[in-house]
Amino acid sequence: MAVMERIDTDRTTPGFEPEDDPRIPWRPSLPGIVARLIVLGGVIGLLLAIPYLMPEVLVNIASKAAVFAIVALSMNLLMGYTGQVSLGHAAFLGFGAFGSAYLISQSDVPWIGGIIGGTLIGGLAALPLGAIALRVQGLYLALVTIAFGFLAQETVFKVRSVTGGGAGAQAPRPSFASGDIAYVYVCLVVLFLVWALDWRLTASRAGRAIQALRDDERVAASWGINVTGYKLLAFTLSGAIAGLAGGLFAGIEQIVSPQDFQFGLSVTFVLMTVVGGLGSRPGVVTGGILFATLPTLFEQAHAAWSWWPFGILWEPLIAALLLIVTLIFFPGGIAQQNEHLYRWLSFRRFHEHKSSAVAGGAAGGGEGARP
Amino acid sequence: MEESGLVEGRAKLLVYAAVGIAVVGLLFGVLLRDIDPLAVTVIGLQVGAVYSLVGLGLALVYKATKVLNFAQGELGTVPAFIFFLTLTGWDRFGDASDPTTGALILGTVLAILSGAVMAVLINVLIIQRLADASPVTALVATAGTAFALVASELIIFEASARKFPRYVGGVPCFESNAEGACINAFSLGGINVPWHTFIVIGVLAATAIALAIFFRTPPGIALLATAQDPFAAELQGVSVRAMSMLAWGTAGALGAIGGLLGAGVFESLEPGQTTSTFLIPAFTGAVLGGLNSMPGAVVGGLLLGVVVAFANQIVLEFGWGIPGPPQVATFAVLLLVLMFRPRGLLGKEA
Amino acid sequence: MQPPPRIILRATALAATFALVLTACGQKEGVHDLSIAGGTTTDGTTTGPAATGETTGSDTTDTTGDDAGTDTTDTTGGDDTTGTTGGTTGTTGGGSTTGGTTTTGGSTTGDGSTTDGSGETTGASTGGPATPQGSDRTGVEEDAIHLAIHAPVTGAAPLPTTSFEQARDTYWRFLEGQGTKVLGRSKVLVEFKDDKYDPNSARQACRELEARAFIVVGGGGTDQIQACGQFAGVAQFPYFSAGVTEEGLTGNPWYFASSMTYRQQGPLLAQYVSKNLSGQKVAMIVTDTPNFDDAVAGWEQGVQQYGIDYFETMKHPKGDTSWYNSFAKRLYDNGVGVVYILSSPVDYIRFAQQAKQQGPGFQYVGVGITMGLNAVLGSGCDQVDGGIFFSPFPGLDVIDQLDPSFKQASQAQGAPADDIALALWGIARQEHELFLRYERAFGNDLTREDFRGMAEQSQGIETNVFPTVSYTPQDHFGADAVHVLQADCASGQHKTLATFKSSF
Repeated sequence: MAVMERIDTDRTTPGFEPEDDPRIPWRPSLPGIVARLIVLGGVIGLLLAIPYLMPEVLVNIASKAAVFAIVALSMNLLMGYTGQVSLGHAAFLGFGAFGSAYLISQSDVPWIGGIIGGTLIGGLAALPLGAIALRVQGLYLALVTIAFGFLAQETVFKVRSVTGGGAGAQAPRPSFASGDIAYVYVCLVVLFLVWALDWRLTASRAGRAIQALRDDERVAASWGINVTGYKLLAFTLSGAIAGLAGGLFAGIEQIVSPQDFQFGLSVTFVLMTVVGGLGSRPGVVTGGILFATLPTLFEQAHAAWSWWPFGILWEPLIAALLLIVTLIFFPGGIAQQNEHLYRWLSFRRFHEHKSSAVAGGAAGGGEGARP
Repeated sequence: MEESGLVEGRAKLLVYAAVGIAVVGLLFGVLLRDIDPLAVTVIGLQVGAVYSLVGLGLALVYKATKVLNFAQGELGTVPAFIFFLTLTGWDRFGDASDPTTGALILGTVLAILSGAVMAVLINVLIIQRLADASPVTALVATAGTAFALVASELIIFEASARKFPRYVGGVPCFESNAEGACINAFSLGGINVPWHTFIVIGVLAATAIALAIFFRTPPGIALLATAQDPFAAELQGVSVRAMSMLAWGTAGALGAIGGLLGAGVFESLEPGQTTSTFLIPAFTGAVLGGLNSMPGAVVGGLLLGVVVAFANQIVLEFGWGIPGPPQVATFAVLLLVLMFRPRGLLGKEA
Repeated sequence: MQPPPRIILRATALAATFALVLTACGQKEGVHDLSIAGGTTTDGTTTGPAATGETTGSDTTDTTGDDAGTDTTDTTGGDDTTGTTGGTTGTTGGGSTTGGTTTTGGSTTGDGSTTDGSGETTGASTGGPATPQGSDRTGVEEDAIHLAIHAPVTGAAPLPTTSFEQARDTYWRFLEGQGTKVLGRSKVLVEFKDDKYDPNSARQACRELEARAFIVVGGGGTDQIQACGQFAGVAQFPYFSAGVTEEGLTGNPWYFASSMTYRQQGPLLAQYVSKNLSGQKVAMIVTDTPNFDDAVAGWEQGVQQYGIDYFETMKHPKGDTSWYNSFAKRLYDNGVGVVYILSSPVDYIRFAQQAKQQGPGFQYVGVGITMGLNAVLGSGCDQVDGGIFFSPFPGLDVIDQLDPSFKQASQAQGAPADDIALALWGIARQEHELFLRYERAFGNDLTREDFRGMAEQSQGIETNVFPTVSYTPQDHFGADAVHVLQADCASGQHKTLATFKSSF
């Protein structure tokens, strides 16, 4: 049952042609289509115009938001689709960042080659964790990812010859996008590509197999799904996407230092994915963007409005309380909160009777229900 | 759980090889260089005991409600601050270094009560509302709670450490010289063992025994039954809500004890201290021992403390200059244990 | 079902807003630039002399007078506290004025300022100054200069906030209260920003600060200072901080260390140890982070140079609590008496406490900004009692002799008068001294390029708080002296053992 719902939701992504599926007979009217196209166009237009709307010094925040959104998609692949928590994702980001930085600045590989290299390194780094996941599950595996993150942070990233020691590693941007604004578009293009990849994946046989693993591995195996292979695939893909994000992340400040990939960043990644809404592409991307921009938004509010009562120390508290309140009212996160909007935007009805697909019950974690 | 025989066999072989190499390496190190195993073990147990105390609370909550409580650390720090405030007469910048016995007792009671109350509140206000959501959502909610608590502590107490008293200060002393300095303190392997360590280990043992007895009493059995099958327990007339509150309340009290004794180890207290210092090792220890096993949390915490102490000592003696020996050792021991027993040393299959 | 028409309305409204915002933003930036450029030019030619005559002039005269004669010699010779104090009263602009107003020299200083002042200013604006070549006037307004400070007040290892926020502009408000103008401007405004104890956040914080402030100052946190210093080299704005690591900052034309770096302090500390703590075996405990690599190199070089009886350098891991006892035992077993500790204050306090449990304790020595803070004594006593640390600023016990205006100004403004405030005060005085020199060289038209060029040629920048600094284009780590502080648990403060020492 859950599997069917899952597939249902994933077909709500924009661009999907409802007439492909006989189970969705409803189709919007012409004005409906026009209205949706206008709103979608507006959203995309706004997205493209954002670098010009922001103050110049904040443009890099937009790049960071795009990178966080890519990481959110990578986290979603693991947490949303396979139900496995990763609390060490900053490590993959770091592998990708240092890998691509090294390739570009030390080995004279062109930028695109460096980014691809970073992606591969991120995937390779995740492979052993996938292998461990074959045997260890749930929170036990979550702890292994924490330990892996610390291992990367305290041991691997301290190999001075690769990570550049205290000074950090130089990570040049591509020659065609050396400016801040141009680089935002590079990040947005990659975000779009990863989104498309994720969409194709979930619609594919492999994607459905991966999601079947989340619900019950034994059932999945009984359907003839290659559990080992798909688990490794999910981990490697997630790591590779995080590595890709890492390569882009390095280019934002054009320098990476070992202190950039701490445990706190991994926790942020989990928070933003869950608050975004596990299993929902638009949800987790919104979550990623929100968590990348929230500190800056607070600071801007602090600076711009004299009536804003919260000082520097209050910002973390407000953010944490917002998070808790959001989850209490919408356990499915932003995706649950905005599911009508997302559905409407994907050319379906605004209201629908049953809407539990995106909400609770997403990642099972292989731990069974809680009392 | 899915178990493929081939993978199982190969993994076991690898693990045996790894264990063999590790043991030989360790013996080599111990024999060739003068690492004193007793001294290192004592060092490891001193901090490992605190990991175990904090880990017990984590394991209890996990066992009863299948939630990993990231706020467990702050269930220790906040009560520690309340303890501190009681000793200073509610002066947040006061001096708590020389408390009276009465204040110590009052502070302890208030701290443990506040820990229990906070934990129950977290359970009622947040966790129970997320009953239908995934465990990850509950984990994130507790992480959010931890952040909120740390942020509040920073606002109230500011980013500075203050002196925190031990129940009994100093080291057991057999002989003092004329100036009153101790010349013959109680030591094991050349490591002076302070009174505080005896208290930590004593409290740990008492708690473990109390929990073991508790799980044989009717409420304890009801709790176990609820953890195993909430639906069946409900049919037997057990209130699932009451049981989860009982578990959280007890875990909160345990957290408070861990926070008080943890702050006593270094005789200082600062905002977010238990989370930043003890939470991750305690979690690691609980997983090593088996998340749903109370004895497991105790054994796992102690084991982790000793393993890390050995890793530090070996790198120190051999001068290899490997960065991050604790992280390497933690990762290695986790893999070794979980490859053998995916549910931890003493954990049972769910 | 039809889509609700409200949504169409909303969409149109959104599009309209977005078009409006776009045009508004485009306009604003241009206007902003123009106003800055216009403002400064008029300031330099017309408003400047008329408005500033009375007070700015006084500073200029005072400083020039002393600079030519005593200043340089005084600094080199000024090893002991009293000597420097003697030189102080007449030496620097800001300090002298205060000393004058409150205590003895009031009448004379006041006199000199009104009469000499106008003449000096006119002299400066007609004859002396060169025309600025640079064009970057960020943070410079007609009647105000904007400066900025960043430091960690949230994040993993924050520093106490109140001091940073409240004391960020004590010195400049003090000048304002005196009626002293800085480069002909009556206000110097200081913005403070949290860098969240994270290098990446620090870079972004500095990017935002740099867009509004002429100079950015790093208040604390080695990794964050390094990140911002590197960013300053790319974005080209003057960046000052107390000396920390040199990793990634060497040769950076825009980074200036206001005091000795950890690497530079290494040999000096070795010399101190060999002279004052001789006969004891020495070891170093350092946090295992790449940013302390240069500090270790500097220290080990000093150890060799002064033939210290050395045990070894021990790198302590992070994220673990058992190393304290292991390290302490190893040090006791090998008869070490003196430990140079370079770590976070938390690790220092914990190590000292655990070591005291194992034996008599060690004589701690060290360098840096945070280790000499009185806050360390709050939870560190009695274990850290007697620890000797080099510091860029003196202890609060001698500050009244070195610069009496610090405590008076803090008290008058209700700002904290602790050591963090003193560090900020010291850096502000250094900036002020550089501004005064700039005024002499270029007049009131302040540009970053010329300021940087002038700063890196500046010799003998004296503040009486921070050590004297001399920069050259090749070397921006220009300090060669430290204050020596000793932890004193009886008073809960650091005692000042010596001030402005460049050798022992």
